[in-house]
Amino acid sequence: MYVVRNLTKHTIILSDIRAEIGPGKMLDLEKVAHREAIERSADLRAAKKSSRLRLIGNDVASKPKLKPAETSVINQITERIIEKPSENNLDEEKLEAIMRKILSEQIQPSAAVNTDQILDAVIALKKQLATTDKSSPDMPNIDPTQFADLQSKAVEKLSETIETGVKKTPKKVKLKNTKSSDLANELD
Amino acid sequence: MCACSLDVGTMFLVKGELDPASDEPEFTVERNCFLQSASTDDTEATLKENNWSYAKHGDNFYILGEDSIKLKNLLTISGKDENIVVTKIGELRRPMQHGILNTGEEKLSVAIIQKLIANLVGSPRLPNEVICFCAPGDPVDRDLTVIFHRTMLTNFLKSLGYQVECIPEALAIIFSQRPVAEDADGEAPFSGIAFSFGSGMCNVCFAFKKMPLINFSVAQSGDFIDRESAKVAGVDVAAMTRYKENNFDLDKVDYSDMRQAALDIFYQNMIENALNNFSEKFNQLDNQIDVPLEIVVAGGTASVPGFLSKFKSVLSGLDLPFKIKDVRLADDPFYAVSHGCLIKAMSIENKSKTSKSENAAKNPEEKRTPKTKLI
Repeated sequence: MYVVRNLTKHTIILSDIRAEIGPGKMLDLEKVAHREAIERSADLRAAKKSSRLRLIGNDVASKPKLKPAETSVINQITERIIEKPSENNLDEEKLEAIMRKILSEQIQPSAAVNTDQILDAVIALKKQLATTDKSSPDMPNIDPTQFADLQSKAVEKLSETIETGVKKTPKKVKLKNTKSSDLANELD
Repeated sequence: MCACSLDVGTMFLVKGELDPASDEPEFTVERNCFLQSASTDDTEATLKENNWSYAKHGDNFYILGEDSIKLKNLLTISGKDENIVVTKIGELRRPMQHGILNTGEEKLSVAIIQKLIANLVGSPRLPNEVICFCAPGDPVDRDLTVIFHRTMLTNFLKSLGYQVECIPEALAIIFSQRPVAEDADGEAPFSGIAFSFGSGMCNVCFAFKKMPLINFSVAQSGDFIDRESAKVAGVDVAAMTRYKENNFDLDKVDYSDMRQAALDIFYQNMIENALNNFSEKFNQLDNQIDVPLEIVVAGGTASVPGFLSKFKSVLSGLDLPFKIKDVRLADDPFYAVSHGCLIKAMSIENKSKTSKSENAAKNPEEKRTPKTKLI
């Protein structure tokens, strides 16, 4: 049991353990998340620190702990995927597919997999993904000039679909005594 | 002489050509921006009625160049009036605000700018007329490449029928201003350092006897000054730009006015940054050049009164790895780049004429009228 009370007049959401506590309400967090996840929750820590939430009761965990072997499977999955996220260019769909595949391969049907543990792993992976730099996608592996040529053809095509209406020629400004012809001859 | 030039700047497009009557260059200037208008049943009729330059793509209309600036200024309201419901007008689009065209981000914007350029330069007066445009140097403080910009403009101008040449922006200033250095062989024309302070970038080139030895750009220039000064003074960026263009004098800075004080500080910062970057590049040259060098400054941002004295005062406070012969402002700072490109285009045209006449002299048979065969 891990009971907390919301001391404010607003709903408090602990996003990292997916808990929602109404104004003035109490909630046993162990009903929505695993003890370890609760203890790791940054949102909960922040809410307690700012006195928005008060811990009412903190007894022995009511849910059975996972066997060490099962925990290590989850850790392995997390580590394996976190290791090189940028190379795989993971997005959430790919991540889900990988998770399903590995879980079906490595966890026996009889093993009691704690859903909170999996959720934790997914949250950890999502955080990792969020830190992956998506702003600079890999440049195509072709010569930049060729790439620019391709781009300019795309612009040219687009340009064909643009019609121009009123065309105006701005005023001309003439310079004097520039010796332009002499300079051009000297530059030859 | 049938040749022309194009300076594709962040804020302006400047076309240059030689007036055949006076043999002097003349320039046509267009704003490098557009504004998307609302699309209603009568939009096109309204645009035509008002004689506003526009482009149409699908159901969307875009007001081009100078007209877009006028409309934007006309409709931008400063301050709040609680008794009027204000509808926000569109943002002025400046696809080159970072100094170069970038197709990766805005293909349609680039296509619209190409229409603006096509309107400005028109078709070649003669087949294969030479056009010379300029491209910025690779920026030292931004992860940008100028390859897109250069390739795209080259392809586009070729598609209009021109023979195209591209030179570095600041080298164009060397060509138009002809700085001279004195070396052991005597006078070395087209040798010196050029700074082109534009809106989006400051371009720097060091050339010796026409050859560019250093060429790069830095992103701190006019727009940087406006943006940062506006932040410090707590005013709108557009208002700061207008103030800078109309009222500011670097020789008469009133430090009790926050706008003036901020502009002065950021001008100093921009000049220092350009000079420090140049010094770093100069130190990396294989052949150290120890002759005194002439510095020429140009560009719209250098057109503010008092710029030259500010530049000189910053210069005197820095420990530089080269000797300075003289510092001067280009004769016409705003047109200097386009003028330099025009000189390059004219020189290519000259060469082409010379080689044609030389070929004709070498192979006189080709020019002879074939004899009529008598049967």
